[in-house]
Parts: sequence; C-alpha cells; structure tokens
Amino acid sequence: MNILNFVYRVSNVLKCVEKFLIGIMAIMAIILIVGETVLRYLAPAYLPDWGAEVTVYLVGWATMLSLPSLAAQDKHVRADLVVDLFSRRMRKVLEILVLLVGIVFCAIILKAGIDVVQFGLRFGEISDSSLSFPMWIFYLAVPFGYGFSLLRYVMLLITRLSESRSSSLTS
Amino acid sequence: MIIWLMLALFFVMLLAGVPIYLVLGSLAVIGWLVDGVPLISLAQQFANEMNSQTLVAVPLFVIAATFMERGGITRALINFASTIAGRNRGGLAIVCVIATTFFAAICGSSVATAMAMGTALIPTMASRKYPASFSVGTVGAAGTLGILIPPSLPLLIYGLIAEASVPRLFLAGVIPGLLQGALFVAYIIWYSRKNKLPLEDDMSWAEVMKCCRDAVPALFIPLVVLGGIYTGFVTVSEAAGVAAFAAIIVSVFVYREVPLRDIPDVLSEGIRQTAVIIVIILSALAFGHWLTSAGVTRSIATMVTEWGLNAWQFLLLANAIMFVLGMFLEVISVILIFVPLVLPIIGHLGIDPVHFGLVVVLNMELALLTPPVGLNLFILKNISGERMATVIRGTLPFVLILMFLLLIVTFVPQISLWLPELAYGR
Repeated sequence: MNILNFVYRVSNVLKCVEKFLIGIMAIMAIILIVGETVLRYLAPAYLPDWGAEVTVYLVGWATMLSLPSLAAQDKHVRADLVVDLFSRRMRKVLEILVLLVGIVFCAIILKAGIDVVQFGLRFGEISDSSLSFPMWIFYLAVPFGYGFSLLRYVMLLITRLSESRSSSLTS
Repeated sequence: MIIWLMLALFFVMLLAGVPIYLVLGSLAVIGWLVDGVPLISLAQQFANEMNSQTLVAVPLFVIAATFMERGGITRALINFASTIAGRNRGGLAIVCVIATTFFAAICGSSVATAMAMGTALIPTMASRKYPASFSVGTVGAAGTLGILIPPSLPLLIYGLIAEASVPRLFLAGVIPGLLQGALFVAYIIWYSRKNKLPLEDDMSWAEVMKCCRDAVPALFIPLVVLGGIYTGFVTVSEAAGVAAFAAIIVSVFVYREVPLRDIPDVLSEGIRQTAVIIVIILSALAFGHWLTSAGVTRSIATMVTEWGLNAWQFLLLANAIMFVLGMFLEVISVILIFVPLVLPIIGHLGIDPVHFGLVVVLNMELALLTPPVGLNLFILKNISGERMATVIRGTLPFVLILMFLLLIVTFVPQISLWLPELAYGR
C-alpha cells in the first residue's frame, strides 16, 4: 500500500504544479496577443517583432504541460463502444494493454524529443526575431509532455497491477 | 502488404479502446521505422507543427468558449432571443435556435454550445410542459450550429490540414448556418402548431429594453472577432486572442458569473480540452506524412480515378464514408483521419477545398447527433436525465433536416462559395 500512497501523493503534487503553470502561460499568451494587436494600430513604433513567436511558445508549452494530467485522468479521446461490451476481466486486460501502448509510444517520443533538444543545443539553433530565442527551450516541451505522460502511465500501471493483485488476494 | 497490416492494426487498436492519439502515433512510428526514417524526425515534426500561428487559435477559441459556457453570456443571449421570438407557440424552442445562432457566432465548439444552451433551457422547457424528446432534440440539434457558424474549431482544423484559407472557410459557413437555423425554426413552428405547445407570455416594453441592453456586451464579441477577421484588421489567431480576452472580461466583470479566483482553473480547463485535440493533430499529421511518403494517398487517388468517378459521385461516396465514420468516431478524429486521405482526390476532381470543408463540417454535425458515439446525445442525456432512446427520438427529425441540408450544400457549391467569393474574389 505504501507504494500506492506515494504514487497518489506524487500525482497530486504534479496536478497542482501543472494547473498553476498552464494558467499562467495561457493568460500571458492572451495578454501578449491582444497587446500586440492593440500596439499595431495605436503605437506601431513600439511593436516588438517577437510577440507572435512567444505566444506560440507559451501555447505550445501549456499544451504539452496538459498531457500528463490527460493521461492520468483518462481524458484522451477513444472509441470505447466495443470495449464496453466485453466482460470486466477482459476490460481490465485491455486497460493494461492500453497503458503498455501508452508507455512504449511516450518512451519513443521522449527519447526522440531529447535527441531534438540535444541537436538544437549542439547547433545553437535560435529564432529569426530580435529575441534570438534558443529553440531547444521550445523543443524541450515535447520530451517534457510525453516524458511526464510516460511517468503517469507507469504510475497508473503500478496502481492497476497493485489493485488487481490485492483483489485476487482478497478473493 | 504493409498497408493492409497497418489497416488491421488500426482497427484492432481502435476497437481495443486505445486512445486515438496513440493509435495514429503508434502507426506513424511503425511506418517511419519500416521506411528506415530516424525517429528524431518524428519528434522534430511534432515541435515544428506546434510552432504554428494558426494552431495557436485553437486553444484561444476553446478558452473563449469555456468562459462563455460558464459566464452569463448564455442567459443574456436567451433573453435577447426571447424579445425576438418568445411570444410564438413553442417560442422557447425558437428562442433556443436563435440564441444558439448568436452563441455559435462567438463560440466554435458544438459541445460547449449544447452544454450552455441545454443547462439554461431544458429545465425551463420542462416546466412549460414541452415534450422531453422535442426539447432535448431541439437543443442537441441547434447545438451543432456551433461548428458551422464561424468561428468554428473543425473548420479551423480542416484549414490547417487542407492548407485552405481559414477566413474563406469561416465565411463559407455563414449561409449554410443561417439556412440550417431557418429550416429548424420552420420545423419547430410546424411541430408546435401540430402538438399545440403553449404560447409564451408577452414581454413588457421595459423588459424588452432591459434584455436588449443586457445582451449588448455578449453581441459585441462576435462583432469584434468576426468583423476583425473579415475587414482584415486582425489575423485568425489574433481574433481568437481577442475573443478569449473579451470572453474573460465580459464573464468576470460584466455578467460577474465567473469569480476572479476561478480564472486560472477555467484557463487551464480550456488548454486541457485543446491538448486533447492537439495531440491527435500531431499524431495524425505524422501518420499523414507517412501515408503520403509511402504512396498510400496516391494509390487511393489512382484507384478512385480508375473507377471513373466524377465529382458528384465522389462527394456522395465521401458523404457515406464520413457518415459511417462519424457514427463511431469523435468529430476532430474523423477530420484528421479522413481528410488527408482524400485531399489529392478533391484536387484531381476539381472540387473547391472550401466547399469540401463545408461538406465535411455538415457531416460532422450529423456525427454529433448519430448514435452510438454522438457527443451531443450524451451531453443532452446528462443534462436532461432522460433515457438515450428519448434523446435519439427527439433528434431524429433534425437529423433528417440536416441530411437534406447536406445534400443541398454538397450539390449546390454556390451556397457555401458565394459569400467568400464575393468578399475575397475567386
């Protein structure tokens, strides 16, 4: 049970941090895009050339930060029509298979994403604007989102396996 | 051979309940590995697709919709619509269609529209003794206007996939949207007279003035957003930002139905709803990339050409396939799976991509109302507490009307193309 408690505690902390960061990034993106639109007509001399670019980075990061909680709460879109027709036992088996598919896919994207970040760092890739934003920071969102989703899928797998072991011991 | 294996794997994973982003993503990984392409390019493609100005508009429109759903905008629009049509027999149902048309001009999501209108109107319709199936049917069907009348999330995503002009697509939805609203109102009037639904009370002049005054901030949002896009003052993503900003201001400070402390929660909910769509887009684009590089889309185009299908025969076939897909899959998934496959064909047959976009979205409206996976059906069932059979029975007449509209829009392209061609030329 200790491991389950630990998993729940980690999960709650991650949820709070994610929600806070996503809210901050979203509001910054909205303010930036509206501010840029207003400046373009009222004070074009003060219009920075990096507003739209930073909005994309903020929205991209906020989106990737949302992925882990979507995995944890099983909010991803799926066709569960046929699954609902199966027996409870079969549904549990399928649920574990789905988690395994999630783990493998997220692990692949995590590895490939880290390679992209390293590539960006090695070649010092920067954006075209006056901000000269280091692109590896934006690329990092991909391994971050899929990496933490991987962590959530592993935590879910541990929970499911522990639950089925304890239920089989009880019966 | 690999294509048939992929197809089999696609259906096995889909039916086993694997999330769609994982189904398409896993197939993309397999395809890229088989072709010997290093997987670093896959992650690079994910990052590059996210680095898009148009994609930014998706979460911002969803954030706007989330605030509108929770704020007092819905109530203000319903009261305003009551001043126009509230006194007729079955007036509440007509009010529902009119208010939804206005709401759809602010909000690009059908689910948010149906949820907002259903929560506000279904209890009132029940208290006025409207038949339950008719009430839920009206709200569910009117809710689909959310994705036809601009701004529209599915049209935006179609624009991304088909590389079609989003302002043109948005403008193309206006006439079919108004036509749909008019057809629904005509059916409601006929049904209300036939079943002697109650006549609604008259409003005093002071009440009418108050309702109109209260609706001004809500009606101001589509004016700024759509007016901004069509006059060229703002880009689509800037319009989405302005819509989100205006929705926050109106919900929090004007109608005061979203407390200040709830803003981070609503914002993060909006982004989470979008992330569900964006991961599917990323996986679908990666899979689509493999489909093209492996020559699958070219093979399908060649096959259709060999069948000797002309444009209208192809459109009929496409409608049938999308109708079946829409019964089993969620709206955005259908667009992301089906559209990349047929894009080369529509180009080859000389079908305007803007016209095809409207055909796709009308099919998606049907998908929202057709069992077993019609999202609006589930929302209405949850709000009303009615049985699914009652909800389906109520939406059936509207589904038939939508099918009729789909046929008209499919075979008379001018209905969707006239307005964008008038505004932007051919």
